[in-house]
Amino acid sequence: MPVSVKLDDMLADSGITLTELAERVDITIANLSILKTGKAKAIRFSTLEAICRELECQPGDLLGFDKSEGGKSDA
Amino acid sequence: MTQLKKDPVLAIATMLIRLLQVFTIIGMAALFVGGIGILIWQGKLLMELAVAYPEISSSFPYLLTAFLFSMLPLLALFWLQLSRIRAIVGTVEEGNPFVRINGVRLRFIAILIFIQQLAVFLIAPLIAGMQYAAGRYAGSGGDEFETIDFEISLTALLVGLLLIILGRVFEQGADMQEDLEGTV
Repeated sequence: MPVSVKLDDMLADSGITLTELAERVDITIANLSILKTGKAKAIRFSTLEAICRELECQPGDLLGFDKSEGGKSDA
Repeated sequence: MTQLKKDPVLAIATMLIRLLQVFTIIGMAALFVGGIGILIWQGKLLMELAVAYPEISSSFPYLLTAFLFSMLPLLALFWLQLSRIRAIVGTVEEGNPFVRINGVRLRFIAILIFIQQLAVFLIAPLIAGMQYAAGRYAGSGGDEFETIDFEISLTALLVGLLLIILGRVFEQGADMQEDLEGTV
């Protein structure tokens, strides 16, 4: 999937562990791991909002897009 | 999903399907034994039938056996249909009916319905043959000998089509379930 989740980097930057974040955003560690490893198919706005709030970042900081990984062109 | 597990409709459905499966197996055994028995005691059978059909053809027992044996694969198909329905009911009981395999099961049931309907073309001549062998010699036009009705059912064909469409609905449901499970 061309959309990647940079949760690992964001956690390292903020010094918060996955378990801690899971407690703060009220999401199971299993679900957060799915997100971290890029296995998630979709992310709810409420989840995004909670993570951004706790990590003090923007949604754009958390997500990346790599066109070379099969992203469709605009044409 | 304990609420679903206690659902009386599902419990009744499971019980009914199991009962029908047992009856189907008993029916298959009866047809097999009956077919063999007719061949063994065909002389006695012809004598008994000759009371009602004085000039019954000697080919009648063979036609009757062929008819009984031709019903065996149909009952086997029915048993397979029941087993697939039971599996679907099982997934509903577990609270997870939207799995791809249920789409496949529904399509399989539909295909079996179509096969059963096509079997009419094979069995109808046998019934006609039985009527001919028994009725022709009855002395009053050949319409006296009664057999079961065996004809293509429009309802069954529509049910088959409906099941194919439902199979697709289940597959789409499975896709949606996958998406839902992958949503964080």
